[in-house]
Amino acid sequence: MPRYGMVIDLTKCVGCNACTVACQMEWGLESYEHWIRVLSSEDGIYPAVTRRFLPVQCMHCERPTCVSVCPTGASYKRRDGLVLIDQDRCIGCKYCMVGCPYQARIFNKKIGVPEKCRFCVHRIAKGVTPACVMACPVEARTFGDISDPASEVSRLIIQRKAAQLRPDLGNVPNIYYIR
Amino acid sequence: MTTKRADGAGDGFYPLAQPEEGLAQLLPEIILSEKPYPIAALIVNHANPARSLPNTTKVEKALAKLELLVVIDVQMSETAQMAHYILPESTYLERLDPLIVSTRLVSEVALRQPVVKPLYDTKPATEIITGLAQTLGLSRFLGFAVEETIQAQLKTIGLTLESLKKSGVWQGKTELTQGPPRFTIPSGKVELYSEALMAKGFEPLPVYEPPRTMPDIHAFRLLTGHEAMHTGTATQGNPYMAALSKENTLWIHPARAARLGIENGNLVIVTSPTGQVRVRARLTEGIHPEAVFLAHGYGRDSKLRPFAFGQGGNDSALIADQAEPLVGGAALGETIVTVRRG
Repeated sequence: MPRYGMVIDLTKCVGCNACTVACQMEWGLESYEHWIRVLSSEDGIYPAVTRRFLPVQCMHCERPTCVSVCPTGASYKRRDGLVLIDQDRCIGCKYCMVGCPYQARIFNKKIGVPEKCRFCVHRIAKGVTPACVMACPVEARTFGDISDPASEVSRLIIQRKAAQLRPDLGNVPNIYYIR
Repeated sequence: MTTKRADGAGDGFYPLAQPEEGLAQLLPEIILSEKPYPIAALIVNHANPARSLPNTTKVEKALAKLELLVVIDVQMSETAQMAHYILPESTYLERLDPLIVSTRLVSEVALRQPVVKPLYDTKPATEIITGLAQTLGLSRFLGFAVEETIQAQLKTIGLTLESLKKSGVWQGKTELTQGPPRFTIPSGKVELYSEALMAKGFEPLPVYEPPRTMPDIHAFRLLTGHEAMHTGTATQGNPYMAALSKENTLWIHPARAARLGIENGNLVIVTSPTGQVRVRARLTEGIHPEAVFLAHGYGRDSKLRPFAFGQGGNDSALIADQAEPLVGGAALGETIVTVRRG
């Protein structure tokens, strides 16, 4: 059984939001619905200034808070690593939105259910890479099987010392960042 | 019969400018001064000079002076708003276009094919232009269909339209990526010393020239540029792009801003010799203390593009129309502005 994960190379990211929009197009989201948010920050004093970008989305955690706080079992973890939401079981209580330390979920008022990145579950089932990975113009994103030591994601995690965002929170995310 | 280009690209004032590209930024001055000759009519395709060119006031004055302004576009731009005739163009998903040629290390030729029939009563620009040419009795010069253009283009690389329709993209040989590239100029190298410049009476080596203008302690040099989310002046009306970047902000150094009593997010009035805009300030260490930065493409007044209307400030209103002397490029970094809270 694979364990799907992603590596995002922050040394390549230019903050163009192509991932954000590709995700919106893939899932037919409204213009204001962002499953991927690209945060930016600035460090230093002129002229030694650096601007950094940080794309944040559902981390498909190994120990997902959203799943443990869900009162109905609507949020669930699949054996291949994906964290998904069963819309028919969701009562729209938003516990998961509050529980997610990465603020990855947004509320869809039209159907009364929180939504988030689904690792393009329909695409990866066909062996096609997620839309954000395909859209990235600088190839900062790599998707693959973290449990396979020969995979590209595993190689990047080891060789480029890719790290999880805020590992101290204990959620064990499956998205790793190269900084 | 040959007429010299009004902008002097390739001959006259700017012998080294590419005539295929032209020097659009000189057009307002040419229209208003009627030199070297009067221009009565303008056909604009997929361009928005009323916002993309420097000195908006002057550009709009020049466009208003034309006896005939025809705009072929997919959206109601500020230029289209001023046009006598708007000829609605099919979008890129509805039309067959002349080849897209990329000349990077690996040369590429790409074909843009329609994926749907036009949803509304629109035509591709190529068809509009050949149709106009036919009516004007100019078919001799412009009377060919886009398929013929593509086939003529493809002949040079030994391909047919049918084969490219299947593959979509053609890639040239990759020899160029192994070993240093050769340029088509006589030396075949990156030229620090340019014989071409010398032949036209210019300095063959780069020489330092001080800026034409310098800000004093109360003023700033205005810098402009593009954001990754937007393309020229074409995308600010797109709700998805507007959701990511709805308005531009004036980047200003915190030390300079403090002296002017400006805090992050304050509305400020930016004034140049050619115009004035009102935008929010963004205090950042990422800007030279003597300069301010304003992204291009905002401050729009086309009411039919509600997501862009009235958002941010129009940088082009502030920039003086100056041409750089060597190849006539728009000198966009020579504008001095003052900033105050507003």
